[in-house]
Amino acid sequence: MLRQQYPTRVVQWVIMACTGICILMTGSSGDAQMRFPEKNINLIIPQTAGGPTDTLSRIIANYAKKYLGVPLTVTNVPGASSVIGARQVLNSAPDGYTILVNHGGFSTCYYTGMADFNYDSFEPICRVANVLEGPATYVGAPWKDLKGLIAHARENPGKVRYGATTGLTSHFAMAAIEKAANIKFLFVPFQGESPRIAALAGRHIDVIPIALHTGTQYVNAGKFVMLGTFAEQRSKLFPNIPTLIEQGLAVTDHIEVRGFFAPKGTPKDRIAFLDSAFKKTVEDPECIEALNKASQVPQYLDSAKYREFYRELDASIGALAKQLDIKKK
Amino acid sequence: MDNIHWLMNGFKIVLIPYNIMLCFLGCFIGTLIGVLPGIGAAATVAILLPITFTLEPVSAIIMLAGIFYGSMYGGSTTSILINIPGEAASAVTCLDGYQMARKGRAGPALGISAISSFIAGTLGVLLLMLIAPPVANFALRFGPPEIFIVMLFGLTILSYLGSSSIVKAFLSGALGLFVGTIGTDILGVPRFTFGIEELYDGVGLVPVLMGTFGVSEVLINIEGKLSREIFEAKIRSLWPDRKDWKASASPIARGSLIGFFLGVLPGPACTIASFVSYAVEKRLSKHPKEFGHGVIEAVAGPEAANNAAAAGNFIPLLTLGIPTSPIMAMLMAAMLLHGITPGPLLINNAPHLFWGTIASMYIGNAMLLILNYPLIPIWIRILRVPYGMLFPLILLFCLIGAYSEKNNVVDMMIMTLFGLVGYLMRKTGFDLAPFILTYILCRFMEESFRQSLILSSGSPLIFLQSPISATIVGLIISVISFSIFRGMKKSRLQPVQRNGED
Amino acid sequence: MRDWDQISGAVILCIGIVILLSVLNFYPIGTGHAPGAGFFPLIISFLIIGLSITLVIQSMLRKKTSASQNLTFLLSSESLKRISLGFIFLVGFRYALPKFGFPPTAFLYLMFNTYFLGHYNWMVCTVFSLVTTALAYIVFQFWLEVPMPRGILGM
Repeated sequence: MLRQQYPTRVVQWVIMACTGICILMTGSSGDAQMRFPEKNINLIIPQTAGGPTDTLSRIIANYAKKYLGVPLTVTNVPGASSVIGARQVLNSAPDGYTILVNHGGFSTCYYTGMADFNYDSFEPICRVANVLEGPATYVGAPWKDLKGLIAHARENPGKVRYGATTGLTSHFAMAAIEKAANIKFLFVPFQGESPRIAALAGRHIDVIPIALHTGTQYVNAGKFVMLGTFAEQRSKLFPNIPTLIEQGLAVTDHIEVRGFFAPKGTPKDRIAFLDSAFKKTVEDPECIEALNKASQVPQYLDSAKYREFYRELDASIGALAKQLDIKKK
Repeated sequence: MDNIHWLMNGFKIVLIPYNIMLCFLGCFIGTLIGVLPGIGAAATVAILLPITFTLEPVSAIIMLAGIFYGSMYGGSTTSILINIPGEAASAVTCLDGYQMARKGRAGPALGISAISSFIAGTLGVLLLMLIAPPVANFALRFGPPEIFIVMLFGLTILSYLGSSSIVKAFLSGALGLFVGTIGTDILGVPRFTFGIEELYDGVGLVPVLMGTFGVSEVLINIEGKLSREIFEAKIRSLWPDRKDWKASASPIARGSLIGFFLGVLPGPACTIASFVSYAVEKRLSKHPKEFGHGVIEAVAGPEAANNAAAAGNFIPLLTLGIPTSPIMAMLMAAMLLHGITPGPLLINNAPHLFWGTIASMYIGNAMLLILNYPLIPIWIRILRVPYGMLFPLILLFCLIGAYSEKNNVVDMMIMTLFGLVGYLMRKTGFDLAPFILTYILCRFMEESFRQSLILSSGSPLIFLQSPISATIVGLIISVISFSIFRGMKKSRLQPVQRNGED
Repeated sequence: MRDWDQISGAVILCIGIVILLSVLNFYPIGTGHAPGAGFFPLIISFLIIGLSITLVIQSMLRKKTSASQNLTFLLSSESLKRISLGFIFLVGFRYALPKFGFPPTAFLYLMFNTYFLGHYNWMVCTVFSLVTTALAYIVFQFWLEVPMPRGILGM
């Protein structure tokens, strides 16, 4: 470059700035929706990839496309036991393009002090599906079934060891058993389902909540005994596993059932559209089959009924939290 | 033998063009991800998970598995060339690999790295095939007390992980332990989070690793005018010579065994395996003082270890349905998405999946060797890129990598802060490897420690109860007393020499 | 001629004391039955304090030979400026990304670094930044579909 042609610093800056602006301008501009939905709907999963919430969301996303008319893209925003992902949706624009999947986690996080918001900061869209879960123990334990376990726990308060994730739905589920049977277990905290499965298999602890599909494999391998299921009715997939209610414990699996939520203020017609689209998705036989294979069962409830359902759930979680006394200091 | 019959079936499944292509794709992406600093295999598998939806289950697992052990190949490339690990497991390769590159021996370093990865990976799959179930059942006997003792044993190797004094190595480790406590503890109490929600799960391995190793390395280099030493003028040879092969043979064998068995345990197995291998090689070497200045054993051993650990990592998932690391958890999710429930009966219920995966790992390792070896001259060309252009690229990838784990910009900030920390540590002569190792170990150590005390109602005797933990405790005591004894003997023989560098 | 080990030891000692004080004030130590959140940090703070004191003492007792001086830490103001710029750009990236989206932020970041720290002439910088941003866009946003924040211009 010849010296004379070398631009001065000012001109350099101008040209750099212009190039920068050109780059900036190549972005697509905002749009005014006439029809909903016009572009992808973003489903935020507040957990890491690989868990039951994630699996459920991806299956739904796969089959929802034909009922929504647009793709449902999933994004994992993990952190702080689902609070970070939930907060992201809480603060996003209420236009129906950003939705959240969650379970009883709203209430558990709220009552344990991890979140300063609860389910009522969101608009429930619909309830979708649940994972079949139940307590399991290892083969060769001093108790053969749930009755035996409870009797043993009554005689030895604080000695029967169970594993669950602190402050999350598994913890509350076991606490519900304690409350319903009026017994005291020893809580051993684990992070996630897999570590507690390993600990139970190695007989380092006594009871864990586990997905029925996974637990059944261990039963067939001669390692575990399924003590029951949290579900309200016996599952067709596992007709041999009695519910906890049948065995005299008033414990349900409401805390684990997952649904979709939108930020408060999302227009009612968009919520209704999403609601009906997801209803059709969850009734699609292929989707049902995929869900079943992944250990989940569809449990649809529409928007209004879901809100009622969650209200009751929230109250029971609040009561349990007091009993568990795990509120953040 | 029955297994051979199944394995042949597995090969039949894999050796169709579709699956071969997917295996190659997985290995290729894995290598690329391993090479790029910042982006990790976990994030990549998460990103590609939806794509695998449309594939057959076996094909999906083949591809995702390829990404995982492929990344163990690529991770050492940047460690050797620019002193920045592509993966946490490749952090120790920086110590000697980079020094070898500075002496013009980047080629042999990369070559031995590829070869040891191949040998260890293949050996690992072989062992996986032969002794997976008994090893898995043995691993189940590691409850909270045993896991804690193993981690404690891991702490004894801190002083081998660099060239600073013992005090500084342990101080670096202590700081790493502190950083590891940031976040909520196992009972949900947030510690040192200053109310920042994003810190509730800790600072994150990728931001910390990329910050302390990557950002600090770049900053050290751009301090002065960008007259980086010109490596290429001193490239003496492209391939390892006979002396290298001979020196690497035992480290590779040892590393493979260490890696395979450590890979079965929960936690960041590949990383711990490579650190332990480095320490073992240094301990067994006839010239330990040369470690840290570019010895080939220090590259061969850890590289073998992390690849063997990758194979071992599959064992709990494939034989028991228990994923012991985030990537395995994602592989499990992929199986669930395709309707396969992992569990102890996976081998019986879905033999095509099990044996297909194993067969694909043999093929994958071979592919990776064929892929990586000829790339060595090309990677070396990277050294020719002017640093003024290279470093913004490196930092950009680190930033993206830090972001992509949790899709959160706060991770970028954390990375920058740890860049500052790493920079200060480097300037004042602290080793970074102990810092990273203890950071990684901290969560597991504390969790298992507290779980143990809960289980034993406060009695510390639980750590001596089982034969496994008692044995390892004995090992720890003997290692420590041996070192003290050796140190005393040395100072008794040479009373005059007190230069503070023990 | 200062020995930097003493200084770094002293600094780390302060850090250790701060940790100790925060643990004692804020976090429950718990009992032997159920060690609380403060238990491990307490032990760690003891370790840090003990080791840093050892470091300081060791460096004070050491003979003042030139080998143990760690002089490399002394920075010229030029280097200080460059390091600071490096950090400022990194921090800037974090704040610009949610506002502008990935391509503009990446482009500007590369530009600033190659121009101010790499000291290349502006045209080389621009071309390099454009090409790299385009490639990064294709690889990360298009191919891998990493969900980047879409800035005010929708990118």
